Amino acid sequence: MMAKQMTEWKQIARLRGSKLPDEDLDAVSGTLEALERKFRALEGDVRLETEPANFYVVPAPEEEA
Amino acid sequence: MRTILEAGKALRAREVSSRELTQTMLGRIERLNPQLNAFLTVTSERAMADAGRADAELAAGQDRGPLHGIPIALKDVYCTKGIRTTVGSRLFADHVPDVESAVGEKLAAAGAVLLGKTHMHELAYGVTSNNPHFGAVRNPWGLDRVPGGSSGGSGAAVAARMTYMAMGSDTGGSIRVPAAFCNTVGLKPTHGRVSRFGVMPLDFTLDHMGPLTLTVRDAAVCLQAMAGPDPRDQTSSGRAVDNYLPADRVNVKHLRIGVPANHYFDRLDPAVAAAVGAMIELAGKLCASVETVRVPDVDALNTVGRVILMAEASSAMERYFDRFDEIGADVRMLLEQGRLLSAVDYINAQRLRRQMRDEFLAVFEDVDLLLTPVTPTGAGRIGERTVSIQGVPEDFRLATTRLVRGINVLGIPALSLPCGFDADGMPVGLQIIGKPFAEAAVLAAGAALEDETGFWERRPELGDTGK
Repeated sequence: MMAKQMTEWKQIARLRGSKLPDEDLDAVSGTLEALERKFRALEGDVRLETEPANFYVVPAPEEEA
Repeated sequence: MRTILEAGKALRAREVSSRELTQTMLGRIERLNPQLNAFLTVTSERAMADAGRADAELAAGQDRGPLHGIPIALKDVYCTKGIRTTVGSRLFADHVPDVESAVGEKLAAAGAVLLGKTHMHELAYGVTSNNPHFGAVRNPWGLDRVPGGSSGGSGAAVAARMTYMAMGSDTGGSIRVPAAFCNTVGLKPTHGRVSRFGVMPLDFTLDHMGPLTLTVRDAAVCLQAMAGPDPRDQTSSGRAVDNYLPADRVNVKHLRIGVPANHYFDRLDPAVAAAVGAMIELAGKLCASVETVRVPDVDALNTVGRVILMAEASSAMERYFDRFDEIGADVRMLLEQGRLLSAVDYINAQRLRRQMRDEFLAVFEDVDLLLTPVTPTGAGRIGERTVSIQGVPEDFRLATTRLVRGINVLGIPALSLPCGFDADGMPVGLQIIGKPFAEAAVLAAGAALEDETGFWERRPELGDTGK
């Protein structure tokens, strides 16, 4: 989704071994295209300059109050 | 004995035994399950043995607390040692775990009696519980309607009084949606409050475990029994467990209520808007204040949530890729989509999530709780893929999750509370959202509203008066 052009989802699906028939892959592709449009618009919102390096992706439970 | 608390009182007064309560529930399951399909497995023998033990302990003066001798059920995503756990899928049709979930262990230690395993959407990945392998779960309020999902069997079973409580799991609304569609209470606690150990994962960072019950106070006593740290779940919190049970005459005069001005009231069925609006008006009389607030972009939060869910769910199921043709079409399509997302997409979604969480939690500087609808409509008909809201067609899955999914991304607690019915007589739910670990406040507000309205007391017509 970082690429400027829209992703060729159907092609990637075949490369990754999907055995879905063509019509189903068209549906998969359509859903992902819609999601891609929305997500790509958000990626620029990540504030790199204030983001501490951290690979802890789960919301950290708050420690004892 | 309609509720856990009522049944508990009767047990302690020796007006009824756990064996009698259990026999009553097993009888209702036997009569109603053929039409509702809410249970996948019924553990009658074990239940009666557990109930006999509970009675003997009470007679000997050993009281394990409010769940002692109370019949309950577990969604079929919770591993039960020696009892089949299908996750609603052919992939696990014969799976008999050799471990017990942490929740199952805690409920057993609290003296609860396991009636069986409730039906669900396949792999907990959907909102209809229309299961291609084990049949559709039917909504007790309309047998042609979905009960919601993925914990649809739990919602239907509690609504039909087949059990006092059924556990659900919630990754994008899967406790709150069936609770709303079936007129039950559903509680999704804070991420880390209840151990996920021994629950088949749909998603590693969005899954939450919680109960569906008839009343808020019943949900509170269930949370009390299952909350707390567990070294087997690294995200489980070491924070002290609060006292969750609201007082009999609960006072919520100190709570400040926020009502989002954006997103949550867009495109609602008018009956949903009216029912939720009435609850907000009531909250204004019971609480310190009700004010309109703006929340960060929830549509963006949902988008981020979908990227995370797709990637993590596909990661969880990747080992079964060669058997994807055994999975129902709807779930298979989602798993196929998740496999195509890149590592960059997933990591960026998690980075956005952290940032959005900080922004959203700032809302709670001015208010204690948010009130919103759970779903934009009541339950749809089985097999329908779209829903029309104010004349605009929407994908049923996306519409049904658009008010709940973001809360999983944030990991904060939320309760679904019965608040009325739509024009077709289908139940409507109010969502009460709190800051992290504010379950006590969420439950207190829920109990105060419930005490004034009592929607839970309405029963679906099933040609069965029950007990």
